[in-house]
Amino acid sequence: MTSATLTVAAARRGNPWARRALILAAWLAFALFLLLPLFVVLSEALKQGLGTFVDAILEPDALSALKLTVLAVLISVPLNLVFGVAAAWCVSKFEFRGKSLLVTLIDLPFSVSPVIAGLIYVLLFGAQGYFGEWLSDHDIQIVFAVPGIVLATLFVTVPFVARELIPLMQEQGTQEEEAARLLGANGWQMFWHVTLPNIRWGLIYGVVLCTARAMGEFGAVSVVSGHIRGVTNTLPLHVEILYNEYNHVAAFSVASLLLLLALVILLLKQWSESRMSRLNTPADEE
Amino acid sequence: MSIEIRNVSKNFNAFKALDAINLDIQSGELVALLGPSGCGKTTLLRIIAGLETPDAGNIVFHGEDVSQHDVRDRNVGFVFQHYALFRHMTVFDNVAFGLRMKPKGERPGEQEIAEKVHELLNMVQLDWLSDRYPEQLSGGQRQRIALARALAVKPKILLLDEPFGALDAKVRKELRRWLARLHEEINLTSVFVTHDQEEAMEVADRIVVMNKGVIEQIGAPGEVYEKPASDFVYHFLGDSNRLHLGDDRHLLFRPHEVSLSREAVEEHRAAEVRDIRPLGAITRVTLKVDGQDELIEAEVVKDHDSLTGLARGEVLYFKPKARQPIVHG
Repeated sequence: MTSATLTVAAARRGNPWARRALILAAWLAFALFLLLPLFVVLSEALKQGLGTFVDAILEPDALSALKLTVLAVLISVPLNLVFGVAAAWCVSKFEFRGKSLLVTLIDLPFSVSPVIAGLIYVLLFGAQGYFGEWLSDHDIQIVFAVPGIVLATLFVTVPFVARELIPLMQEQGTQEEEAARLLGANGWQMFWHVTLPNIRWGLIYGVVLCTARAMGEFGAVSVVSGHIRGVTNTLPLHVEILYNEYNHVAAFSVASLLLLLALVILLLKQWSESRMSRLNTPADEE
Repeated sequence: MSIEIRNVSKNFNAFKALDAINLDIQSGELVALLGPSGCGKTTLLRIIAGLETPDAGNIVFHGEDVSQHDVRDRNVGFVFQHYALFRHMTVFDNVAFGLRMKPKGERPGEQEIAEKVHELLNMVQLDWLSDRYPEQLSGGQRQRIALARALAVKPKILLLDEPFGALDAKVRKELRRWLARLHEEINLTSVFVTHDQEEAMEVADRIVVMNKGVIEQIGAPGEVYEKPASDFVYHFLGDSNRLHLGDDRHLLFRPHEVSLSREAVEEHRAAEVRDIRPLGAITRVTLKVDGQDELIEAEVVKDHDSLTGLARGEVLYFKPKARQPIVHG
């Protein structure tokens, strides 16, 4: 707390013009790179009036893309929630062999290009892939179908929850859990009453980030999708198709839908972040 | 409830934390585990609680071997060094936690829990803080809340890890006396870990001095101080001087076990005064003796004859007056 106060105090004492210039530059950059595109998307979408905008969104292919995106989010986010909490718990509360390998593996989707992630699934489950024959024998289609899209989304979103929780749980240590055990709590009571409340804001933050990524994922999903309109198109893919067809108004209308979801997510993120920092302010030591 | 520790050993990889520890603690005793950091005292405390499993040996509570019992079945109260209060719960909820976690059949009603919690908070004189969160409390207050929380489930054994370690000197003194009184009142068997010999001497009925995973000595405070079983215990329990006697022999004595004189007296050795420090009731004089680099510290009452008009660089005569000088070959 003291170092932060000092920095702020130093900044206040510094040259007021330098400070104003820096703040102005930050606002300009923000306006140019964030607000302007936002404005362009909305104005393009509404260029031909609200009616066209609504029609573009309510068009069956767009609705089906929205449904698929929501489905991918609804499957991948809860799975990542469970996996993330379990992985973070293992990594931060226990010592075991292969721990650093596990942490590295969790990070893998961050370092692998999403396109390659998509290609891996085509290679594994595609018609010419390793499991292709077996899958077609059993009449299971993964690539160019909904399961492939869910798998690809899962792959790229794996790190979000775990990455958010591991440092948080490591910092909090295991003493509160030990105290709960000593006071007679069983494993579930300990998790529910002590661990979960302590990590809840970090968890929400991780889930929000994970949701944002799951909604917006393009590369990996694009490879496994096959772009079948009304069947395997997610919102970002649908936007791309519309744009390539020079249907700009529709493309921007659907994009603004995605944008709206992103804004909601952003607000949720901001909220959970502020809750987190409030909870993690170190209490004064004596 | 008595505690028997039988042949307990514990290794952390190659590090021997505890080596065949045997210790009997009587019912109602207040015992201090005293030693430098890394001596195994906290590991032993955690093994008694069941938070750590020994590699070998048994823990027996009141004749019953509890070695295989889970933490939650041992019914020990434990106060952590940094208290480990539940940060998202109020003081009230922290203290009520143990009662609320009881299985359905044994769990008291909320009304009864509230009464019990307020009773405990009154006992630690902090009832007015029941709606606060741990981060809003001072160190001393957290400490007492941690104690109230541990006592809520009526443990027969209370274990405390460096209970005063994180507090400032004044709060520490008050809490020490308060804990000793509390122990008398509620008749628990208590074990606490400390690295501070003064704390151990002031609070404990018996002191267990530990070093490098073994017990060096067990005894009443006076006993370990006056009759240390080893050089280690001697050094650890207070300041000490080493006076070389030649032929690889030396004499150990405490700063206050010394006779000082301005004139050459029989058996007294000459030394140069290097420093004079008034410390309140006593004054500490640092002396340099010929033949050794190690300085000698002498503590005498502040109005001692030898101190009048004494200045640095002058010569003073001293003689160790340890009743039982420890001479080593």
